[in-house]
Amino acid sequence: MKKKRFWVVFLGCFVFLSILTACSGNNQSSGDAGNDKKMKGELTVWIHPFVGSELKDKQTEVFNNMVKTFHEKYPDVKVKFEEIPWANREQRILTALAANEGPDVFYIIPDMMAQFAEEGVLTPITDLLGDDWDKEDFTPSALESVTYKDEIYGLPILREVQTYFYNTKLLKEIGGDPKHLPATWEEFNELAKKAADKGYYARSFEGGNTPNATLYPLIWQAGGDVIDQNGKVVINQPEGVKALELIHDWYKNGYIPKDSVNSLDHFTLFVENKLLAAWGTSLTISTLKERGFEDFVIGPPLKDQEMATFGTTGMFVVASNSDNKEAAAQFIKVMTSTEHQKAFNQLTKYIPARNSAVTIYDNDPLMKQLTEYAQYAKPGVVHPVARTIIPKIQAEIQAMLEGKKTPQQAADDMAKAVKEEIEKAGL
Amino acid sequence: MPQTQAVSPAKRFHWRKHWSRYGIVYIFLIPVLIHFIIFQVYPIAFSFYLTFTNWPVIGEPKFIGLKNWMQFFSDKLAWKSIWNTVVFSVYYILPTMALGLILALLIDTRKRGSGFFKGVYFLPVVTSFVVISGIWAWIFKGTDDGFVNSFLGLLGIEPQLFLSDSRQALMVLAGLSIFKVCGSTMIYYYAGLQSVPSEYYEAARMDGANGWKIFWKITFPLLLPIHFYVAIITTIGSFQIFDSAFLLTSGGPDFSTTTIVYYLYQEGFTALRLGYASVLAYILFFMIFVISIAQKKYLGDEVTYK
Repeated sequence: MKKKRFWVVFLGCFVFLSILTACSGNNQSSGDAGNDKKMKGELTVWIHPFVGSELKDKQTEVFNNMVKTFHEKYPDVKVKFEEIPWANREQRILTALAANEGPDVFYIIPDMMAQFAEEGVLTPITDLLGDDWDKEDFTPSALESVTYKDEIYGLPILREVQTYFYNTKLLKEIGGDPKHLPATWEEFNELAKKAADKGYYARSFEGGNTPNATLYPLIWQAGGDVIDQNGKVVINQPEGVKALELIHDWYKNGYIPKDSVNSLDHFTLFVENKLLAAWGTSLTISTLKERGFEDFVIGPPLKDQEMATFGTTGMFVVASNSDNKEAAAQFIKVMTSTEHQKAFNQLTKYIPARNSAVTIYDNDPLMKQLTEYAQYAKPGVVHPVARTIIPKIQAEIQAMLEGKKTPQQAADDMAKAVKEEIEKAGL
Repeated sequence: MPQTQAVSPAKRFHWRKHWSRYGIVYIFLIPVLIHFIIFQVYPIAFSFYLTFTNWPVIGEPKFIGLKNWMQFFSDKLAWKSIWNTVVFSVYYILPTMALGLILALLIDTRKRGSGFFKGVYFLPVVTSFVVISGIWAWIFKGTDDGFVNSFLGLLGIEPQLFLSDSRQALMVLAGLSIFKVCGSTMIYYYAGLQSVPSEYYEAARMDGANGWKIFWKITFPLLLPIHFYVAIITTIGSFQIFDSAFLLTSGGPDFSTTTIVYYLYQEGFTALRLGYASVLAYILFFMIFVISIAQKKYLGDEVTYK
């Protein structure tokens, strides 16, 4: 009996101890990246699935080639890639960094950049980069999107551009000409009326999506902005109101579908031949091709006062708590060099951020056309509150479309909400 | 004198006796308690501390006193999200319970094929929420050619906007949750029905009671513990509703589906105001706590079958 109890106690202790060791087990691995000045140590780089799973091996190869080039100069720095899914990546990045177990180098887009830079998550790399990265080769808008308060926080590897994809079948049916697509609001509205008369929707408007893809391009086309360069909120200036009025009229006239208020998917309507023009990106080309949909042409993103659209810029940045900032900055330089931008964008079908790399699309007319439009692409609102204001802007557009507010009221309430957010952020 | 002599060895002896009797309990309890303290108590306490700070996930939390709590009282959106959550629970709790009970009664008839239907009704519970929401979004598409809208068209009813209408969106989301959860409430009720002694039914039938009367006089009251349990879990579930708003409506249109947890998530992880998000989390905790206590008081009576 006594013996039995001894064994029970022994087992209990064993279980207890093994739980304790399991709890403390993961503390050991941190702090292995030495801060040696002679470029040693290890870099952890977080990447995402930029391509579908069938091309995964090729993506791995592209990234491994970057390391090969990097090792020619810095053979003692180990580089470790970790692939993180797209979903909830900011939370993953932030929580990992907060626990001091995050990456040294990771991928973000401009609106995240401003917020992260303001919160001190990123290292300004202006000085770490040196002068040998051929600054002039990067497109101005791409450089603008990695700069916050006169400091460079990352180097861009890809650009995206949003514009209209027209269904040629519908276009012909309503009497449009694929060779002369609308370039101005006026021309577009004319065509839109013809489409609506024949029972089609003129364009997609996914009100549940970010205003980067709905309202903002129209504001820029009207010559306005959301927050100007001095940090002043200007969304309710006449240009902003004009953009909202345009959306309002589109909705009233049935040019955009009834569920535009909160829809997340109008692309289906496009491939079902019910919608004339879908607002898309370079990824739309591959999606259409996958579906075997060939009856489309790409048109310019339109202008009222000026030609403008949204196009994000993807960049690699250095974490502020990285132990190896210098090596990290050097590695980013390699990642975004002409050679590797070419390889990366060739595979992922984005637009390179370097002028010397866009030659990859010389033989691809559709991508070449998009590359041309990329010069009109703005990186969105580059301000720490850019992401926080998104739901508020969305809600005001929705209130307007539901008839609760006039375009002017909606614009004023947007301005109020943006100012409140700026105040809350203590800026 | 002899008394004092007797006490001190007894005291020492007492501890050993206690240990030999309960030692095993401690050995098994302590690891669990340590786990509980690290992974439950500590985060709860830490998030309470966070409510008094400004913490953007990175860096040290800055102490700002009661500012976050004061902000809550003047935050219209927070109140709206609480209101939305309450409205959602009205749409959700009773229908889920009623439907679960009806389904349980249906499969309890033990006719041929009831096992098959048990599986069918339970299917949404085990299917991924993302998949089910995708199907739901397709069914309730707001354009004229949407699935439900096509049927409404046959009946001569105007097409509805559903998720794009701020008056309907929350109802559609509640419908999705009911569809997803009623299979599991069915199982609870089914288990409850099994435990009602059959003598009662026999006796009632001898006295000439009809099915309707039997249900209201015997089955329904005797299911009280199940009602209580199901009411609590569906209430808690309804207050924690997040995924459908996240996946289908992004809290819109015009914040009409911004629930308290969705708002909390936005404030914490998009706006990086973890301190304020913690305040919202505590508000949610108090709400669920008070409601659970109230339910315990009114529904939590013990029921004996014999």
